[in-house]
Amino acid sequence: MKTIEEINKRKVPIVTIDKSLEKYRDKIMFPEKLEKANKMLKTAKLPPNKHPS
Amino acid sequence: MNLSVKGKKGAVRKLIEFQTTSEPEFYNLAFGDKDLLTGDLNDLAVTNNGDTEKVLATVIAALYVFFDNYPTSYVYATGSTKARTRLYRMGLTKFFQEMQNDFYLYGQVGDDFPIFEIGKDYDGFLAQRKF
Repeated sequence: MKTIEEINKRKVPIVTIDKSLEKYRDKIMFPEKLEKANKMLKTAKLPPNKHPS
Repeated sequence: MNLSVKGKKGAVRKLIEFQTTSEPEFYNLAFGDKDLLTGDLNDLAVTNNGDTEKVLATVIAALYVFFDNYPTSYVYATGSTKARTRLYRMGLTKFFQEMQNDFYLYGQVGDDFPIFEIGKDYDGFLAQRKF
């Protein structure tokens, strides 16, 4: 585990997956933001998918 | 993902959530402060911690990690306020040279998503990984 001091000395941020966050997997932390995004998607004209499945 | 960034007011815990939406493979990036005492989340907080650039760089770094796991997906982000959306635009502008090599970037104008251009005002932002 890196300390805050070590992390803040670096120019490039370090991103690691914190396993303790699994408890949030099925929770919606910012419901109003999700609602806003879903509302936008109803009428949005999205750009062509560059990686169609 | 959560992150802790130390600025002039000390460490502030942030949380980034990639939310599944009504559209398959379309994720919404939600981001805000986490109060360690109450556990409450606040996406309207103005931390004013003098660490904006580091926070934005970390959000972009998190984006790379997310796309490593979901390479064909779209990620959308918009600010909780117009000022916050402008802040995101500043972040994209700051890291644009690096990001345009790795991402298809679009700016939201109403219902449309033209290719992102520096200096233009947008309602939100959309990214898809290049590979």
